[in-house]
Amino acid sequence: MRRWVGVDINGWHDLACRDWSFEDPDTPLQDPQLIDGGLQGVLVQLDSGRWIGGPQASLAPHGRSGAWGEVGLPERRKSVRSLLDALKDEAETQSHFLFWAPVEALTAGAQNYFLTIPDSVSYDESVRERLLGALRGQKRPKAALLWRSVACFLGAMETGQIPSDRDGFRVRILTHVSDGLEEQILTLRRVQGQSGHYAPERQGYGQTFGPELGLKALFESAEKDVLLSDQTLLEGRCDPTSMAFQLLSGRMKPGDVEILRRANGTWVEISAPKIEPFNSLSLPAGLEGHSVEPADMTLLSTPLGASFADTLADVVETYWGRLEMLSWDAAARGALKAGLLVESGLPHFLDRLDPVRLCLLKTEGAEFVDLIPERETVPANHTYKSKPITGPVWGSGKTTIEFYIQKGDTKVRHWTATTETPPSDDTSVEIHLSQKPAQGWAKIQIVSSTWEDLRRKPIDIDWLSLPEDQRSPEEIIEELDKDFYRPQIPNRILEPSHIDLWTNDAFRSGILDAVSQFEQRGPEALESLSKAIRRRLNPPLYSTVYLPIGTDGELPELLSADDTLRFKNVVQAIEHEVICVAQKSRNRLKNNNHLLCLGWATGQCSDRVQDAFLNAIRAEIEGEDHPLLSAHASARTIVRGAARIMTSTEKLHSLFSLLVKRNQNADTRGALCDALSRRKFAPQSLSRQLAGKIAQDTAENIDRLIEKKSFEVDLKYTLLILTGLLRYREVEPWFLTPDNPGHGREIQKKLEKLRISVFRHRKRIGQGDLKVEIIDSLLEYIEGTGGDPNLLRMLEEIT
Amino acid sequence: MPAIELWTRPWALVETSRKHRFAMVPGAFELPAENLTATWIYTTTSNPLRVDRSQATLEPVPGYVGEATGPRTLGLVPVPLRRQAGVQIEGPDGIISVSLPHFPERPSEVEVIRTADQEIAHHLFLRLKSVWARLKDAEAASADPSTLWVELRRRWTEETVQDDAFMDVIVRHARNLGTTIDTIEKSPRRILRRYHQMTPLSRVQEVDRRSMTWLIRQPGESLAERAGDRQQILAVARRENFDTLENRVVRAYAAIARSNAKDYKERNSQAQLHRRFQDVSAFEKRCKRLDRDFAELGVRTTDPGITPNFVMQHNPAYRKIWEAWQELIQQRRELDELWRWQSRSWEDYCALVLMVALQSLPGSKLIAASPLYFRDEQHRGSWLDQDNPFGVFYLPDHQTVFEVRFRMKRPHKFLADFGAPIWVRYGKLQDDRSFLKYIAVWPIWHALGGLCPGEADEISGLITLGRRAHLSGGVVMRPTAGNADSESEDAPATTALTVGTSGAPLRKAIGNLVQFFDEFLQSGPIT
Repeated sequence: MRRWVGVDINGWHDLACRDWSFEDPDTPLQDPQLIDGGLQGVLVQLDSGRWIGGPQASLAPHGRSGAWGEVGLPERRKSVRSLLDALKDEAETQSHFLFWAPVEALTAGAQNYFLTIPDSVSYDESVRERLLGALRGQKRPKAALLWRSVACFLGAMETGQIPSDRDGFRVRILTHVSDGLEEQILTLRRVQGQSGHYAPERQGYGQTFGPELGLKALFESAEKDVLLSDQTLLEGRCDPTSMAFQLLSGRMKPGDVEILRRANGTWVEISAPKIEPFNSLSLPAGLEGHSVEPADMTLLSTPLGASFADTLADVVETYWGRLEMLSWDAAARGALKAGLLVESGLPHFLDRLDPVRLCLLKTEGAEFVDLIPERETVPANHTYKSKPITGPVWGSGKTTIEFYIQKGDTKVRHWTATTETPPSDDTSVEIHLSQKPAQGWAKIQIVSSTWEDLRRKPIDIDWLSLPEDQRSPEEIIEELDKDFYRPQIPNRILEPSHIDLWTNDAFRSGILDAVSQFEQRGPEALESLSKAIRRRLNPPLYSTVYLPIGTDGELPELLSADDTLRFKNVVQAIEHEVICVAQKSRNRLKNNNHLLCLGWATGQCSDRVQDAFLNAIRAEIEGEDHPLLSAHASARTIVRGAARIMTSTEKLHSLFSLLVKRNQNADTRGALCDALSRRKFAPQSLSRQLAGKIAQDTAENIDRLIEKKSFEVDLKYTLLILTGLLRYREVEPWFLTPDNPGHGREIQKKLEKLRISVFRHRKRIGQGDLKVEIIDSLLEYIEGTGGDPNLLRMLEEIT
Repeated sequence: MPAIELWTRPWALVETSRKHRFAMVPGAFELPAENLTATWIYTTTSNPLRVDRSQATLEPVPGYVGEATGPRTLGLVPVPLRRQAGVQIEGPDGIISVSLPHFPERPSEVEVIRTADQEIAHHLFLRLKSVWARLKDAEAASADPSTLWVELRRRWTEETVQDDAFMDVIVRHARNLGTTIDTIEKSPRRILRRYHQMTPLSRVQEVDRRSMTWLIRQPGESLAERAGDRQQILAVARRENFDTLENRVVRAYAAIARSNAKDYKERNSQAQLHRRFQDVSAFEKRCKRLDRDFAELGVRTTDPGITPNFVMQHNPAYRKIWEAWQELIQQRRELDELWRWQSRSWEDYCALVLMVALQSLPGSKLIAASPLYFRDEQHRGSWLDQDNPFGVFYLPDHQTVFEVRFRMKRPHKFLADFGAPIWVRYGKLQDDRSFLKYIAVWPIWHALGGLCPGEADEISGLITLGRRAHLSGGVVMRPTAGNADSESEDAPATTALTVGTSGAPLRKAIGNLVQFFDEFLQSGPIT
């Protein structure tokens, strides 16, 4: 049988209880032995650096005051209460590990121990996990936690204060704590399957009332009385006195003396005064407004001495009715009793676990599913294991899977589980939960019977690393539901750059050759550059089209740094000329070579050139003259080029604003196609108003197409614009859906008409069947029920 | 030129006759027979001496190193395990070989006492074990830290407790391993060994290559002819063999456990009716019987350092014996180390005796005490780890506070010169001047024990020399001679007394100390 100790460390009067002798552990003691951990527990640091707690620390000169020399330095003494407070603060890691010192002092020779903890919501899983982490270590006894209220209940059962066989007997346990009175109501229950065994049942956290009655407030009042009684104490010319709590606890009575070391190393005798801690309190304000739940018995446990305890009991009785005093050592005795029950395989109490819910996407939408039954209580001596949650699927090729986990009533955490090797197929995984009542975090595992990696090494949740989601569970469900049904967004067209377009081949010269010519001959060589920069590469059997400069302005990786610099220098030189022309400091351009070179230099042009292009378009719309608009078809060159060279959201927004004002001809539609289907920031550059205007123009255009039966390039551009416009769903997910305000329903109707027309003429028009298929897909997009993600690429390929 | 001296008293530096200081020069040096006490090596260099080829052999005495004290060192010499070993000091001018021919040797567990020297060594070994047991009392008392000093006092001063047999490893073994030993004894593990022997034809069960080779070389044609007149051929036979590694370990354990049980009984002879004593006594008999039976079965014994085989690791009974054997071997190693540093253990013990004595003064109240930490493993004979002040006692009747300081890390030079590991600082309440008074306490380890006549007077003479150190009293604590009772010899403001390690000699020694301090407070030279 393992050697158990019940430990009650509360910082006011610590106690432990064991039923074996340290020296002769195999011989059980007839009566459990109490180990006094001392009043107002402290821990002190020895010269060796080791921290020690318990009564030895209370008696130690360490950290008392400078009168003791180096040993008396204040940093060498810490109070247990400060450690208990630090446990609630995640950042106080150093202090957490010191908590072992007071526990060690009371658990010498033990193999296991139960440590009591306040039955308060402030001792949630994170605090309990921190506490257990601080107590774990090599060659240390194994720690388990127990609610103090439950320990008191068991202690009272042990002494016969609570009948041990009355099923449904409700007991209110009032524990005197720092901040008031901690109330918990426990019900005695007959344990199913354990003949004749009764255990307390707990239904949730206790509550604390009446801070004016708390030990902290009473101590402060008593300390004030003590300090005022002696000038030496008041002036702090000696060690701090411990009389205040000794008087409160009844260990000392008025007139007793305490010997304290003076600052000069001599000794002084201080006589204990009479204290009246309850006098200054405006009783019983702290308890007002508290509703009293019915109970068969009320027990009050306090570390105060008999006279003060009676006063407290009088106050409390006015609110909770008749009560009985419960010895302060009941918690330690009860904790030992709990250990002995666990040892004999019986549950020491029945607990209601904190609910844990996992958000699952089901056919009817997202839903938080209970991993722990909400109303059920579980025996605390065993680890509760949930029924496995089946259903989640780990997607093939994915290294992560995401979950939302709700702990308690409101807190939701976002868990992204990661694996190094993704599964080759979609794999069903199971979620398992296990938790021991009153201990640390629940253990949640992802396992799979079909995926070898997870079968061998399940993924465990690491609660501490999970970010807390600020949204409520309802908000998350709403969001997930939206995500679940969120309309599809088409992928934009991406055309990467290729080095072959920069070098010469058997038939054509590359950009680098044109750059060389420009370097040698200057602007005369621009024609060859303007041709080279517009070339595209469409290798057979490849679905990708390559450009000299990629859609996002990227140059080929294989292009040397030297060649890159040369090219950029040429672009700068052309820019300089164009800007000079735009500023009228040079003659107007005779041809469009400059503009073509810049217009195809995607993402390489400076802001000044972008502005110059925008100004030229604006002038053209307003019918004004502009130096860049002198050459033939320069407006088309500028409009189409502008759709490629805009590098910022603001500039692209300006371009869209101009394009919707411009005459809706093929150039405008071409530019809109380019900008909407290729530019990364196109959705962000649009406003609701702009997107609505483009949608309206497109709807009108569809009418025109149907009317004129123009189902070739015009149709392609119109559909490209419409599909590109659907990218605005990145900003407004429900844009252009029939149920959403806007042009969705109108476009849907017109598209249906268009489909009928195209279908009717499909044999006569080029790629008629494909076009019908594309319109069908587009209709799915508008419906919000699906659509081909690569629709833009498909449209780009039709003629 | 730096001096190298061997001291036989820690206060040798301030003692004017220099009778406890032996100057050493390169060559051989033999410590006179009357000096069977702890020894120190003193040098006037600041560098530690190389002793027995190491600078770490000696245990430095605090206060003898550092700029404030000048270039000097003092180191405690460990007691050698073997007499011939002596001590080799590498001095600046050459090697000094110190021989200690009169020091007893560390006895082995299974040794039979035949000579007077062995008798002395045996008693010294028992004393060492008793001191260890008393220090373990402190550990046991610390299990309830709130009553540590009260419990220790109770254990050492109450007659009924002292007459109990003390808890020991062997008691635990006696309780836990009795049935295990019976199980093993009844059916020890055996192996069937194959060997060749002439076997009657009718009983041949197995032949192998060797038997057949033998057979075909025999004259005759039929098997009966080849079997000869006796009708026997060479065949494979199997025989039970008990001489396995696990049985050897059991026998080795039985021998060492029996010796430990015997020692335990000797140390607790006053408690023959106590259950622990009887358990150990029965266990000793069991071990003796097991040893004898295994010897008859041809099981040999084994030495420590073997690797456990599968049986020792996984058979529950043998595994228990293996672990118990390891525990006793570990204890033997610790005893080796304790033997070497028994003078340091004696200091630890005397510090605790002093604490108990001060606590036993009428009305005494412990108002502060350093936490007492019992080390997991002893360090050079010392089990205790504590800070200073070790304990602070308030005596309301005398309005006096006593402060015990043990092994101060940085004692003042004036105090360090006296070489006392324990100091009692005392003073009256509200009296600043008396706080400067000190009483030096010298625990003096001696192989034979007993008082050294005139020692109280000798240290009394030192008091006048210790004015600058505000020394006002002195106590010498020596071990009792054999089983003799505690004795004391007083001189003005000083006392020399012997301290027993258990029972009445311990109680009386505590009483003597209480009496000394009581009288000291009433009439002592507190000025």
